Amino acid sequence: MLVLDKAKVKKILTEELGYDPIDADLFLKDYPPIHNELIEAVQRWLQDRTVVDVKISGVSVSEVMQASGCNFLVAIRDMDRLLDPGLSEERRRQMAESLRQPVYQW
Amino acid sequence: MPRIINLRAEDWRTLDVNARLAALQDLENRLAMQESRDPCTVRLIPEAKYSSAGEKERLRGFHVYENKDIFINDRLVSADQPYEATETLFHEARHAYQQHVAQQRPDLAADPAQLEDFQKNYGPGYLSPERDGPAYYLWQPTEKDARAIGRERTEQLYGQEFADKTGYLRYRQQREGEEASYRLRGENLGSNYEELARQKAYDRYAVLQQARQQDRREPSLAEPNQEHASELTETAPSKQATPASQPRAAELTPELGEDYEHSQGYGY
Repeated sequence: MLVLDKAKVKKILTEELGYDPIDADLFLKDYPPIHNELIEAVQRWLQDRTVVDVKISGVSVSEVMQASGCNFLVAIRDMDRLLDPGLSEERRRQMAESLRQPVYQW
Repeated sequence: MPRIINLRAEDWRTLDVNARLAALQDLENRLAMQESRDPCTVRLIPEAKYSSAGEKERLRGFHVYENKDIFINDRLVSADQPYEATETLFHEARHAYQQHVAQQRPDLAADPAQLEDFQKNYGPGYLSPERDGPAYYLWQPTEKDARAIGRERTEQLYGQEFADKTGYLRYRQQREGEEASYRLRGENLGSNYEELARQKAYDRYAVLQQARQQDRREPSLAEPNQEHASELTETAPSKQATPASQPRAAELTPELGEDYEHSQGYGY
């Protein structure tokens, strides 16, 4: 599992992604440790912001980002949940499919 | 339920965009009267507002607190069927009502818990899909409430009042599928996702309010009306600072100050 370096990530959030420092702290407060399957993609993104389009349960990072307009770290957080060993296969499949569906805003 | 004939599918199809917008405005006017609040002006979202084609596809509408406008995506108003535009109007009108209760008429709240939700879960307490994640955005109290009321009123109008047996049934099915996917997204947060989203909103509200109070105590270290302006406002570029003359129930949230502003944009 990978625990994010919060100071380093906060710098990226505030200087590159437009987060206010307060919001960056709130975002990182509950950010979970990342499962092994996603570590390489996260490390690459932290290094140079390249999005390695890793797939988990058939859904890719870019699909998750596109469905809701969210950033890479939000998408990774959502996909990481799919790796919870406590999920049944059917539940995992349903949740993965939901991440691909658009999130309408109003 | 206001019965606006031009919102019936067969009538809507014969109208141009301006007439459709007028029908939506008529609906908003009547809802506002029923809810004892000032009506919002219903407008189309300016093209410049969209940052990408994807956003134009996802952004149905938004409500702006400071000038009481409701903005609707022209894609919905141009569509042959009225359902999505109408449900969007119901949704945004509900945000206007939430604001009205929070700021002007706390006596209209269903209960103290709802009042607290309406007062804390907008402005500083509002969660955006891009910043906080779609699941928090969807399940925060004001969005959950607005979606539920929007759905309920749309069903009342088209399912019952107009007894629409044409395109509405398919639209309803699509919306039900959409809500099912939203529930799954919520479960991504945890089984108690509604409470988690509420707490996230309340946390943001508390932290930003504390920061604002800190600014007031140490004016030499910060510009109290500007430093946290970005935290206190959503990211919609069309937002404007709340005029000092904006009527507000000061006794409800005196700590938030005159330049407190909020935008229910991005569906957020």
